[in-house]
Order: sequence, then C-alpha cells, then structure tokens
Amino acid sequence: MSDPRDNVQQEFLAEAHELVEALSRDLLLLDEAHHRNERIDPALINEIFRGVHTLKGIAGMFGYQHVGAVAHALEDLLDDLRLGRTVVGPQLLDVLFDSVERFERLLALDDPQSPEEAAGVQAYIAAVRSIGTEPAEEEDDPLEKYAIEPAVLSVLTEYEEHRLRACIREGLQLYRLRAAFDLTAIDDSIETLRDVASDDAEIITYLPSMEGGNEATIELVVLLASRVPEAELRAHFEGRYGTVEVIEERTHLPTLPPRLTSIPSAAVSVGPQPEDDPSQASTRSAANSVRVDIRKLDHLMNVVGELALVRSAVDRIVDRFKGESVHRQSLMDLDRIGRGFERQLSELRTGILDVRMVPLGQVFNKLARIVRQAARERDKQVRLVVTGADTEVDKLIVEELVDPLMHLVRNAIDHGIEPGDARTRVAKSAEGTLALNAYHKGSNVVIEVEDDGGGMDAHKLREAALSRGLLSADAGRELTRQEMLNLVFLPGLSTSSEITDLSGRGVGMDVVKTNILRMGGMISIASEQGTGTKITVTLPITLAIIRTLIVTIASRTFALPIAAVREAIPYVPKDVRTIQGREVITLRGETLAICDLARLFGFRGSSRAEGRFVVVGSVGNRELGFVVDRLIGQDDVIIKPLGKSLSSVRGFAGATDLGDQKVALVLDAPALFTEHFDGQDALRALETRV
Amino acid sequence: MSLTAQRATAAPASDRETGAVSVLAVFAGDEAYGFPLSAVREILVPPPLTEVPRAPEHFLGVISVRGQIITLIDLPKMLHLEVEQAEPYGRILLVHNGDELVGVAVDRVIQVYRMKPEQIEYASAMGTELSDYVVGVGRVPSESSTDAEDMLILIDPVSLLGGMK
Amino acid sequence: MAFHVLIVDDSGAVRAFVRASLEDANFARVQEAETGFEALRLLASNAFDVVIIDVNMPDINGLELLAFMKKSPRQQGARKILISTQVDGSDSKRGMDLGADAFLEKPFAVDELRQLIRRLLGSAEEVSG
Repeated sequence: MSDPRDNVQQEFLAEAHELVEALSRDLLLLDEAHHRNERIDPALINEIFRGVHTLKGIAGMFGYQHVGAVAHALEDLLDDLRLGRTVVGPQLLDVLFDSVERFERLLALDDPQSPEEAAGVQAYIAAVRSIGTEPAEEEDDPLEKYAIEPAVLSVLTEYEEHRLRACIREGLQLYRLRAAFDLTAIDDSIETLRDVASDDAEIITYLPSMEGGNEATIELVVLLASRVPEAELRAHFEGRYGTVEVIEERTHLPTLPPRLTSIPSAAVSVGPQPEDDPSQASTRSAANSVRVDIRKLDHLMNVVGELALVRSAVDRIVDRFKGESVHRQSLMDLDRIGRGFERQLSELRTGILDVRMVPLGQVFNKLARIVRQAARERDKQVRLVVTGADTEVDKLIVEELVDPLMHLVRNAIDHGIEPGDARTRVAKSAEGTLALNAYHKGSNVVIEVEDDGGGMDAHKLREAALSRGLLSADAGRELTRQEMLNLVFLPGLSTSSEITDLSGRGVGMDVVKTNILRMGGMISIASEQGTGTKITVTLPITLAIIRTLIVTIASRTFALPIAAVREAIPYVPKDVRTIQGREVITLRGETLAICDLARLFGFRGSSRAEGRFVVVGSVGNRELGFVVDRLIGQDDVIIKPLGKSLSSVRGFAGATDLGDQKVALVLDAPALFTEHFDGQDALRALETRV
Repeated sequence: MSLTAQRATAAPASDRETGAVSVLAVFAGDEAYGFPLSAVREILVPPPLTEVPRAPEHFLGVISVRGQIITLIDLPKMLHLEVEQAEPYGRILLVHNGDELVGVAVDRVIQVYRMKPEQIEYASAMGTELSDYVVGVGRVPSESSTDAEDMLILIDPVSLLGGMK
Repeated sequence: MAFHVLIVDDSGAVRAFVRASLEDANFARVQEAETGFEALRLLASNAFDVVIIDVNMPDINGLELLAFMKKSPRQQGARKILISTQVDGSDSKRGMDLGADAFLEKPFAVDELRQLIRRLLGSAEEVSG
C-alpha cells in the first residue's frame, strides 16, 4: 500500500511556501516598525507566531523534521516576544529573517531529513535560543475583572484567550455582538463583517449560538475588542447585524499611540504596501482561491488547440457543401454557429491565460529582503519604494525574472548608492532611495529599477571598452553618450572586476540582458552622473500566446511575432545595393539593411523570383528588413519551445502548430538581429558564456 | 494518427528473477536496433514534418504530437553510419529519457523481444566508436532463417537524448 | 461499508493527508471543510460517522464547533475527534469537557488515525447492536 503522504506532498509544499511567504511579508512590516521606532503591534507578533506554529504542525506530519525543528525554536522565541519576555532588536530581527532563507532551503531538499543539514539546523537553533529573555512580571489575570460567562470562556482556545488578555491589557473595551446569518451566504457576510470591523475592532472569536437558528440560518455571538467609542461601534453594527452588548463598562478610554497596521501615505511607501499587496488580500479570501499546477493549464491550452482543429474541420465540411443551394440555410446556420464557437473558444483561451497571471508582488517581496540584506552588508542606508506590486505577469515570466532583477537590485546597492557620508558631502540625503516600479504598457509589462546614487561614467566605460579591444578607435569616436552607456551590456566588458568601480556598475549585465532578450523583452539604461541610474526592463505580458505575421520562405511556413514588425513592403530586386558587403535598400530616404532569409537558412533555388516582400523588423532602435516570399496573414499562436536538443540552432523562438498538425517555426527577431549586425563572433561569445 | 494500441505500458524494465529485459526491435537504414521497451512511449505513423534550418544533419526536423512540439532524429545519422539509400521512414518512436520526449525515425517496427542477459554483449567489451549511445549488441532468433541469429544494436535512450548537440 | 467522515481544518495539506489516508481502500468517504462556517453548513445537511476537528482555527474554533454539535440533534451519533499540536494544554481538556470522544496529537500517522476511528466506531456498533 502506498504511503498517502506521497500524493499530498505537493499540497504540503504549496502550503508551506505560502506560510513562508506570509512570514517574510510580516517580518518586513516588523522590521519597518522597529526601524522607525514605532510601537510594535501585538497582533502582528501573533500573526507571525501563528504562521510559524502552523508550519511546525504540518512539517511534522509530512516528515520535514528539520523544518519542524526550526519552526519549533522560532515558535518559542516568538512566544517569549509576545509575552513580553524579550523585545524586538537587531539580533532578533536578523535571526527571524535568516529563518526565511533557511525554510526555503530546507523545503527544497530532496531528502527533508537529510543528515548533512542537521549540523546547520542545530547551529541555527542554538542562535535562536541565545536571544536573551527575562521572566515577565507577574500580573493579575485581567480576565477576572470582566463579566464573561463561563460558557464562553470554556470554548476559547488557549490562543484566543491569550488574545483576549492582551486586548484587555491594552485597555480595549469588550463587546458581544449577536447576529443571525444565512448559512448559504455566510462566507460573504463574514467577509463584510470583517471589513467593517477591521479598522475599529479586533474580532476575538465567533461562537455559534446554542439557541436560535434553524436549517437555513445560524446565530453567531461575536466577541469583539475595540477602542472605538461605544456609540460609534453601535452605529456600525446595530441594525445591520444585530444587537451589541457591552461587557463590563470602563469609565474612560486610555490613550495609546496608534498601531502600525498599515503603512501610511501613497506617496512614500516603504516595503511592499499591504494595500497594494494582493497576496495579502488573497490570504484573506483564501477560501475563494485554488492552487493550480501550471502543467494543468498547459494541458487545457492544448485542449483549446484541439478544439480549434475541430472548428477547422467543420469549416471544411461547410466549404464542401457550399455549392449546393438545397442546404443553403443550414450551411449559413452552421457557419454562424461556427463563428460563435470561435468567439467562445477565444474567450476560453483568454481565460486560461488569465489564470496563469500572478502579481509581481511576489518577486518584489523577495527583492525587499535582498535590499535589506545588501544595505546592511554594505553599511549603507537604503529606502525602498515599490509601486505596482499588483501588476500581473505570466507565472513563467515571473520565475525567469527573479534572477535578473536580483542582480540589478544588488548592483544598485553595491555600486549605485553611495555610503551615507559620501552622499551628505554632495548635499544628498544620507539615506539613498531605490525604487521598483511596475506597470502595464500596451501588451507589455514595464519594470523599472531606479536609484538616486552616483550614476555611471559613460566616458570611463568607453575607455574600458577601448582598452580591452572591444571597440575600435574609430567606432569609439563616433559613439553617442547613450551608446557609451550601453557598452555596459557588452560581454567581456562587465566581467572584469576592475570595471566595477570604474563604471559604477557591477559584473554580469550582459547575462541579465541575455536573459531578458531570451524572454522576448528589452532592457535599456539611463544614467546621469551624480544623480542616479534607471534600468528599464520591458517584457511581453505573456509568453504563451503571441500575435504573429505568417509568411512563407521557400515554400515553407514561418511565423514572426508582430511585436517585432514595423511594416511590410514589396521587394524590388533592382533597388538592392551593396554597402561594405551588406545588402541594403532605401526606405523613405533612409538606408535599411536587409537579410534574405531563404539564403540565410540555406534553402537553395526554391524561392520565387517575383513578387517577394520585405518585412521590416524592429528590435530596440535597430531595423532590419527580412526578405520573404509571401505574406499569408496574421494569426494568434501559442509558441511552444523547441526541445533542449535544438537549443543550439539560431534564429528560432519556438514552434507552433498551425492546425492539421502542420508546424511553423517562430522566428526569433532579436537573435536574427544580433546575428546580422553583431556578427558571428558576438553570438559565439554569448553562447559560451551562457 | 497514433497507434495507441501500441502504447508502451509502464512495465518494469527487467524481470527481477531472470534479469530479462523487454526490447523493441526496429529497422532503420541498413541495421536493426533495439530500444528498452520501457523507454518507448508511443509508436506513430509519421505526421507532417517541418525541417529546422541550420540544424545539424541528424535532426530531421520537428513534428507536432497532440500540440506538443517534438524533435525528430535520424538514428543512423546520429550514429554516424553511412546509409546506402535514404528510405522514407515508416514509423516514429517517441522515446523518453525520464526528462524529455524525442522522436526517432525508423523504417519499420520488427517486434518486441524478451532478452535474457546471456543474449546481450555489452559495448564496453567491444570498444568501438559507437559506444557513446550503444549499450551493446543483442542476439535474437533470426526472422529469415530458423537456425541463424540476428544482431540488434541496443540503444541507450538516456545517453542518446542527453548527448545530442 | 465505508464510513462517512468530515475533516475540519484550515490547513489544505492536513485535509489532503486525511483524505488520502482514509479514502485508500474505500475505508471511508471524506468531506472537507476549511472553516468552521463551512463545517456548520455541511453538518446541517449531512449525518457523519466521524467528525475530525482541528482545535486551532481562526473565527469559529474547534471547541466552539464541538459545543455546537453537542446541542445539535442530527449529530448526536457522530464520533468527534479533536486534533491539535498540544496534548496536555487547556485546549484538549476543554475539548473533552465539551464532548470530544478522542484527542489526536499532531503529527499523527495514517495507521493511528484509522485505528482510532475503528475503535470509536466499533464501540458504537456494539452499543446499537
């Protein structure tokens, strides 16, 4: 009999990762509050405690002993924290932040009980336990002062009791709210109640009432704690829900500094904003969401593709009978139905693609941790500003984005932002600002990494390129300032560690660019010395479905993504001139380089002589005319990758099934551009690196 | 369309007691080859083929199988064998290396043999230049004459797929 | 004959684990509730042989659910198992006072759960003949 745990391990891992994500978000809030010397909200500590407690529980059930052990140690520490036996400090925060990386690593192990990890885990637990604690002062039990009936007390869990005591200690007033709910709509009603209560009150627990209610409705007694004046509370709840009763009256409301429950002000945001952060919203409505294996979505897309084939088959049958007027009406009906079917299919396709979209906030959270870590390592003060965390992007793109963005962020902190005293010397604030912005633009998503650091020295970049022989003296003289900045993307330039201080940017920008290009995106850099640097990454929103131009080259069908196409013009052979060994034509007074794809691909003698076209491609700020035989039309296609074994073949982004099992290769415009303009050497250099 | 009746099941690769292995024998170019049955996912009638320009010679191109794009390779060319005449291939084996699925073009399928260890001679003992992809040579009863034996060149799918550049 | 079981736990992983453990070999038919509210809905229209309840759920916690079931005529025959990470805390004691038939400490193994259910339901069958 198989161990049922094997099948559900995926469930466990998904849930564990969610818990670790939530932990990371909450820790950032905690860090912020501490950093700004604000009062730490006990509810936040409790949330963190609860999450770690849950993680400990499920880790044990699924055999992840190391995870469980680490969670247990953290739980004890957090318990000390919430009971006042220890306070938030740098050492404690470091240990908590370390736990996130550690959990991620332990969850990724093939053998969750790996003995090799045991030593590291033990060392970490020792570090956790070494955080100093003091016994809390003995207090009278605050609960005793309140007239809460034993029946209610007897159904409170230890956790809820603790929350109750904590609220009382803080001087909140307790209330009982009685309300009846319709069982079928109860989820929505509770959501609404939570929303109404969230700013003013903490809901301790919901008690299904012993009396009242029947099959369709149920009465709940909700225990609330609040510092809002009684009249206001009554105004919010009574009438709408039911009756509000006060539990024990107090003569005055103690004043306390405001809690850090949300980060104020839209203009200045530090860390991922909880309002902006949809992953936080999604934890609230977890009951409404489903975890999906992305392979299932791929399968659904394939089914949609097969349905499209069905539609084509029906079309062909309609065509076959078109001549016969006897069935004319039926044929027209069938045609109309077919078009309706196609519309629905298109909606289905869009819907499935939409499911693949996830908010960038996930990546930004991870980056926020990197910023904190890097700033501490470099002893620099950095303020992180994030906008657009809820911008959605295809899940596959998100996974590919993490590394390049991490790289850019580290660069900005390591080399961009100056140390505090260097900044004040040039009349800048001691604290540097790093901004992460994301937004949709047309069918693309734009991500900006911007810092107000020292900027880049364009001329020094040029000198470095010249001295390494990556640039000829002539070419060097002709460069515009922007082109000098773009040198940072050259392989061979940014790999030199000497360059880091010279250029103001670190290693590996060429790898970042390659990764972005491979995703069908673009990257550009803008910088002012002394002011700062902004790197802009533009990506297609989804890799999955792309509008393409279908063409034939030597009787074979190919697809070219529309995003790379500016226009198509007739090909007039006698207009072609040769300049420096390259073929060019003139388009509206400008010289346009052209590339005969039939020749490039080695198709001999089978292309048409007459009536060909030039498809003017555009990538970045370069243009190249691709010579093709015929233009067939536009089509939205699903690009499938070519197998790993074909990865060395240049010029193709993938392939697509056009229907009837006929496959068209999809051209990779950026790669073809690089091949044409930058020559075989640059390509080879790129390949050996990757 | 696929001959789903011939889909290979997830049968164990070898019989624990006797060490016997099920091998699918096929004919390609001038030679007979054997693939471990457990690695063969499907046998297809060839769908339309799309060539991939500038791909190395042993790649015939790509095909689409139920929406998935699969690379098709020419086995004799892969093994650097000279083929006297290029026969149009009659079947495609979908072979899995545990990681990825690849199509191998063959002329025809012979049959499945259950081979015992004594029928197999391993490549390490032979030391030819084929040893990269070839596990060894197997002897099976001949199709044509009752007394003779035929030789199967036994292919290792994992190294075949992993080794393709 | 398969037992009819309800698992109430806010952790998807635990629910999946219980389902996988009990549905194997048709030992039981399992329904899931992620929150106390969902459980109330399911309890209103189904009769279960066994109800497995996690103590520590947000909103309506396991103890409150137990108290409710105690007063509900439809669920009198159901065996109630409380699960939690601490066996000697006040939660388990309160649970027993509220009518829980057994307490299972997390982490538990598949066999433990099945044996416990057999034991609880075995005794019920003896009583009712």
